[in-house]
Amino acid sequence: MAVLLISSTAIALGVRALKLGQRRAAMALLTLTAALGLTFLVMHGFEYYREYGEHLVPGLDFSQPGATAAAVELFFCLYYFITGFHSLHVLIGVVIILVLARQVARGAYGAQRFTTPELTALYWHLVDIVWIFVYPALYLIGRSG
Amino acid sequence: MSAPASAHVTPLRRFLWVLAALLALLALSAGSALLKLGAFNTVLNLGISVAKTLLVMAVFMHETEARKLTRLASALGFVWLAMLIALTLLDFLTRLHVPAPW
Repeated sequence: MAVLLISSTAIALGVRALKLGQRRAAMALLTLTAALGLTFLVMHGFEYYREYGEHLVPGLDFSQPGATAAAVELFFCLYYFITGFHSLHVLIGVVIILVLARQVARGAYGAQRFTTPELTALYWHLVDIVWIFVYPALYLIGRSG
Repeated sequence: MSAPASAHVTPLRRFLWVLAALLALLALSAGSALLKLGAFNTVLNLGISVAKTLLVMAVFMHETEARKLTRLASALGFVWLAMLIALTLLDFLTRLHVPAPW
């Protein structure tokens, strides 16, 4: 999904704007980052909702026909643990970035003071990198053939 | 990270190039799912993921602008993570495939 890649660029540009002393641009870019993070979470919500409708949630409602049901159940256990914990990290990031945007608006950071925004950006890039690996591992594997 | 007084600012163009490259690689990896390459689908996808990660680390995380020692320390963190993932996968990948009896 391109949403997180774009949001990583947005926060990188946001910190860059802050270093250049462009506070309003930095605030806008941080808000855009948080909005893209939220978009990602909402999309995940729809995905989970659809899977619940298809009886694909182990523990809550899981029933599949055929001999591969046990394997499917295992896959979805892994899938919910991995995407669930990743989404939790995205949520934490969104909250931190929103708080940061507010602080930038109040003038807490600027061209001389940007270590906290820079570290927040590093965290957000890491969450992005995790998704870079989770996406092919869970969504593309076994698609061909 | 350099001292605040001498803040290094990455050129805007570099960020946009990286974004374009990341999106192109994403399209390539999603598109590769349509090709039948067997085990090489996974190899290709992981290769693309590594390339994307290197782009993010090098530019977004300022590795190319950092001092060598900082770069080394940061790279080691990712190498350590890769080792942990590889060791976890070793268990999974070396097991015999036993079909379910039911």
